[in-house]
Amino acid sequence: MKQPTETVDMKAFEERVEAIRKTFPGGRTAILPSLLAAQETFGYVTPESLDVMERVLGIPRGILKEVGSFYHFIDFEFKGRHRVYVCTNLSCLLNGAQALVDALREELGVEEDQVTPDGALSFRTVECIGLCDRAPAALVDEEQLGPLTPEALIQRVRELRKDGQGT
Amino acid sequence: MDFPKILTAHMDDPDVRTLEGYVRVGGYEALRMALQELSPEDVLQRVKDSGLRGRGGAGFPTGLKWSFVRQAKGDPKYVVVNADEGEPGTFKDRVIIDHKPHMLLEGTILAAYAMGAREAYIYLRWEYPAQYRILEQAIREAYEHGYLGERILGTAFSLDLYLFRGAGAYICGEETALLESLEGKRGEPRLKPPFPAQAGLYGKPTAVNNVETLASVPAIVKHGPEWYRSFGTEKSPGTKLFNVSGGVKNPGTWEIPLGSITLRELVFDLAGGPREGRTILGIIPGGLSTPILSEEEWDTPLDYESMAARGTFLGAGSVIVVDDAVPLPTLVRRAVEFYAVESCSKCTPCREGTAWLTRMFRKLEEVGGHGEDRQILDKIIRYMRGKTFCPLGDSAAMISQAFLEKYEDRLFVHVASPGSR
Ligand SMILES: Cc1cc2nc3c(=O)[nH]c(=O)nc-3n(C[C@H](O)[C@H](O)[C@H](O)COP(=O)(O)O)c2cc1C
Ligand code: FES
Repeated sequence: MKQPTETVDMKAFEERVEAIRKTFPGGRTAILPSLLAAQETFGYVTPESLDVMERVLGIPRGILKEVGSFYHFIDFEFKGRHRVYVCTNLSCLLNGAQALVDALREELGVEEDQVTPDGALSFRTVECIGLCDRAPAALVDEEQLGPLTPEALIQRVRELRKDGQGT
Repeated sequence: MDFPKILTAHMDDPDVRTLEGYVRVGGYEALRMALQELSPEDVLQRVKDSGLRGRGGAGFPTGLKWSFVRQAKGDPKYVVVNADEGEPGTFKDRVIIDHKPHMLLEGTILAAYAMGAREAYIYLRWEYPAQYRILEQAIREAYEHGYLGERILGTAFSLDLYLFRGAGAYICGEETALLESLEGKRGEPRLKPPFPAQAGLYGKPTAVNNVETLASVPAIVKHGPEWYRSFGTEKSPGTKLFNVSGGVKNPGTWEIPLGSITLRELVFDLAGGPREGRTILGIIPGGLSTPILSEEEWDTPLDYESMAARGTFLGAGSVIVVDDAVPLPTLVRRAVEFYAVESCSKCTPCREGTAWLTRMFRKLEEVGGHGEDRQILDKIIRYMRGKTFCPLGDSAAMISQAFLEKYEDRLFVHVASPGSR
């Protein structure tokens, strides 16, 4: 993930929102894809990205926020450069999801939804992610993982933190 | 069981994911035949006669829904593919998309042809990123090869297909909430009627169908309704995917003619039964929102009517096997918590009821139940049943009731007297 302030990103993002608006001319339908694009580009829906969306889509930020805040995977605050979503619904619970959560807590030294001091990541428990045949399962950013052991998940998390230091 | 696999045929061949591979095993033949030889009415009639019922959970007759949309006044008409697959325990649509995305596209195009739709949307849950890329690729291929876009296969029929990504909300699987979400709003359900068939996306006639429903259509069109009806039962024709997960040896997906085996056979014979040293306490037959069945009830055949006769639902065919790996009070609390987290908060009985259920079951989990707790729980359930705006809250109450009635001894094991904590 690049720095949110880079103007290059902002330009590319604006073009993307423009393209989304053309794909979904039906008024507000472009909102959700644009919010997701902001998140993909900047890590979360930044105030600057809201400026762009207001301008390109012609929709006030109040509405953009009202819509976005309904959905679990849209963040309006920085939640780390990477995100770990651990499923704790029934099939994962029955296959050791709690051990994954405990291991993360211990490894990262933070509670659910708090960003690690280095800004690398945050974790969150989530509902069923449709990988029940691979329980216990988790999403690491957009990577679908399972079945996971606490060791495997921690290893993945350590790799992510190392990546972040390099760039 | 001897029957030709319809949905899962060739799934072990990774090439079938591509358009070329899919065509090689007979893919898009149904569409070609339909566009060249059948009228839209013929296609619709085949689906109607097949008796296909919606695989998203409710089991509504697909042909009937399509005829409502076809007859509805209003233009344009839309087909919306429900790929939100949020019901805990369900991953069958993911399996279809992973292996045979073009089977879904072919079914969607046939649906649009039958109903006279010119635009179709796939609403895919955010939690399926790999599947997003697979569908993106498949749609691109279909456009390139003339299966989508203007004048499909050189005929007068045209269709545009859009892939739309959700952003995490179980309620957006409910068809009217899905349409709200697609219209760029918060995913709160709409009052019905009007049903989407009359006033759906942007107020226009819309067919919302599940992935598996649409994926079943090419075979029906190609081989005919009598052939399809030769599998399954009179009232539940055809084959269906079943997912098994949770406390079981071999979790996975099986395609089964409806009613041909029992829940027990699926879990014990196909999915390998209990895990080493564990005991199966109950089986949730159709996804988290369907009431659990205790041991005496496992010999029920897997079809819509047999499950309804047991006071539960076939649902999405998502079997969750509950064993003793986790204390039952913890498991039930986690189950109802799902509804509290996912309630859209629009209506009071659901918003408040799901929160209260969670609080009460957390109490049973943490400090045990008092005599009075059962009455309080019963009262919360009574205040919710039949009183919520959409089935989400009702499901929370219904499954709670089943857990309480069937497992009272396990839920109230550590009964402490008031004040003794
Ligand atoms: C709370 C709730 C969640 C639902 N989630 C889904 C879902 O994820 N996928 C789905 O296909 N249907 C879901 N449904 C059912 C849809 O409302 C609708 O009946 C279905 O998409 C119709 O398609 P079908 O007739 O092909 O099954 C849900 C219903 C409710 C009440
Ligand atoms: S319960 Fe965890 S992925 Fe379904």
